[in-house]
Amino acid sequence: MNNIPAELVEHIFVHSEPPDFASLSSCCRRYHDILYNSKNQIVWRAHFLRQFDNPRTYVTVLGEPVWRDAGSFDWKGEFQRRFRAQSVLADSRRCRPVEVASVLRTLISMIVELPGSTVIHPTFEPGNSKNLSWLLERHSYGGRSILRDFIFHLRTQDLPSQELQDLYQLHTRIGLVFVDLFFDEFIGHQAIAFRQRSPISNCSWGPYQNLTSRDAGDSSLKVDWRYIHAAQNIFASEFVTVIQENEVIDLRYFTLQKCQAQLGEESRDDDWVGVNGTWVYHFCLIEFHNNDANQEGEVALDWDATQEISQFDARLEVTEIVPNPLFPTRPTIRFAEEENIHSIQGSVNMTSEQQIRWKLEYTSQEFAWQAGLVWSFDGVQVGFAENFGVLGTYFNPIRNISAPAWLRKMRARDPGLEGENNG
Amino acid sequence: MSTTEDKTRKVKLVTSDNEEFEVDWEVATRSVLIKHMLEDIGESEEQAIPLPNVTANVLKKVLEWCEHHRKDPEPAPESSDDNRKRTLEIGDWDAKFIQVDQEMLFEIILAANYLDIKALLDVGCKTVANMIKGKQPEEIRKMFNIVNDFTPEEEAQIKKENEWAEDR
Repeated sequence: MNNIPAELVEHIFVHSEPPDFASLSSCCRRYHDILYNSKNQIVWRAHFLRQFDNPRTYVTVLGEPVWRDAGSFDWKGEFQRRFRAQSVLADSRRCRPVEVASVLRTLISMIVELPGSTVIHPTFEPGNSKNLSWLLERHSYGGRSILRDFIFHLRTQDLPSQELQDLYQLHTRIGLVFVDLFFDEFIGHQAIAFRQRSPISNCSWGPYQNLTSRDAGDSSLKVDWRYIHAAQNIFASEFVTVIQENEVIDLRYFTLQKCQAQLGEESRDDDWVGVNGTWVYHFCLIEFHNNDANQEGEVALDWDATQEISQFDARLEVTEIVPNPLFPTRPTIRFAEEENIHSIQGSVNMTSEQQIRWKLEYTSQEFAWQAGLVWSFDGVQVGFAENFGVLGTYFNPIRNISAPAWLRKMRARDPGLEGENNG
Repeated sequence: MSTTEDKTRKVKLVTSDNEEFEVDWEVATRSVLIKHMLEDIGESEEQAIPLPNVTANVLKKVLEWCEHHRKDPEPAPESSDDNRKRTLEIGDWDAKFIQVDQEMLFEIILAANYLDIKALLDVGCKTVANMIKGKQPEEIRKMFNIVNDFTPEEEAQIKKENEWAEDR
C-alpha cells in the first residue's frame, strides 16, 4: 500500500466513508498531504457531489446562479461542515456551543441555495434536489424529525442573539411543525406578532430588527426572524391539514419543498421581482378581551383572544423604475393598483443587507370614515413569491394595532389551491 | 468497428516476465488500454501486445476477472461524477475473486489502473475501503505496515483537523 500512486490513494479515499478516509489520512504524512493539500480537492468534491446538489445549479431567490465561479467553491470546508451537521442532527447533545453558529448557517445555506425546479413537487418528494432529499430524510412533517428535535434542543440553550436569529430563520424555512400548534407555543407567536399601537414609531419591532421609524433608510436593516417566524405561524396555522392521526400541519405554502425556485418564468426586464401580476394579500386581526397593553405595546393574550385572517386579491402593476446606486441591476420598483374605491401604492427595493423589502399603503374611499386613513405594510420577501412570499406587519389605523400580514403571488399553475380559505 | 468486434478474434498479450497469453478479443478489450492499442495496430493480428507493467501471475488473475465480466455492458460514459452511485457493496463473484493476499490486492489495483479497467479498479478500492472501515489510524498502520512519520505535535494537530469526522 505504501508505494501506490497518489491518484489511487485518492481513489481509495473516494470509495471510503468519511470517518474512514479521515483515519487513513492520519496514518502518515504522505496520505495526509494527498487528502488535505490537494489543489483540486478531488476527494472532497466527489464526496460532496454524492450527497448534495452541484453548487453550479444553485439559484437565488430571484432564480439567478449563486456560484457563478464554481472554481471558488470550498469543497473541503463545505463537505466537512455538512458532515458535521449530519452528526450533530443525529444527536443534538453533540453540538458544542462554539459550533452552534456554524451548524445553523450550514443548514440554512442548504435550504436557501438549491437548484431551481420547473415543477412544483408533491409535498413529500424532494424532486430533483439531493439537498432536499438529505433534509427530508431528517425531517418529516408530522412525523419524527431530528431537524425539529435539534431546533427545540437549541431553544433550551442560552444562545447569543445572532444564533437565535439563525435558529428562527431555520425554523421559518422548514415551516410549521406540530409543536408550533401547542397552546403555549402559539400564544408565544401571537404575543410576538401583535402590538397595540404603531409598529414603527420608536420601537424596534416588526419584520426588521433595527427599524426606528417608518421612513428610516434601509441602511443595515436586518430581518428579525423571530418576528417572521411568529407571523408565518399565524398564517400557516390557518392552512393546517391532517396528515396523520391527530397530527395536523401546514403543507401548502411553507415547507422545505417550497424553497426551490420555480424556473421557466417569462423574462422580466426591469421587473426583477416579478411584481406585475395578481397577488393575494392576507392580513390578520385579533380581538382582545384583555386590553391592557404594556409600555412596549405588548399585549397579554389568552384563550379568549380570537384571531381572524382576511384576504383580498390585488392586481399589481409596475409604475416606475428608480435606479438603486447600491445595486445597478436591482432598481427600486414602484407599483400600484388603482381601483375606484380603494388604491394600493408601494415599492420594492433591495436593502444594503440584500433583503428584498416591500412597502405598501392601502387607502379606501368606500366609506366616509375611511377618508384620510392609511393602512401601511412593511415586509421582507422570505422566499419565492408564490410560496413563502412576503411576510411583514401592517398598521391598522382604526384599531391602533399592528398585526401580521402576508403578501404572496397567486400561483398560475395550481389554481386548485386558491380560494379555499377566503376570509 | 465491425471487424474489431469479431467475436472469434484472438489477441496475444505479453507480460513483463515474457509470458504470452492468448485470449478472446472480447475479454482483452475489457481493458481500455488494450482496446486502444488494438485500434492503433489495426488488423495485423499476429502482433502481440506488450504489457511491461504487469507480471504473469497478476495478468492471469486480471484475465480471470475479464473473462467473467466479458458480457458486461459498457459502463455509461462518465457524464459527470455527480451521479456516481455510492456503494461499498461488491458483487458476490467479485467478493470471492478479490479474496487474495494484500500484496496481490494492490498488484491488481495497480494493474487495473494501468490497463484502464475501471470496474475492476473500483472493486479493488472498495475492498481496501472495507478493510479500513471503522478502524483507528493505529490499526490501519498495523494492517498495511505504514510507518507513522508524524511528530507528536503534528499528530495532535491532525487529530484536531479531523474533528469534523468524529461521531461525538
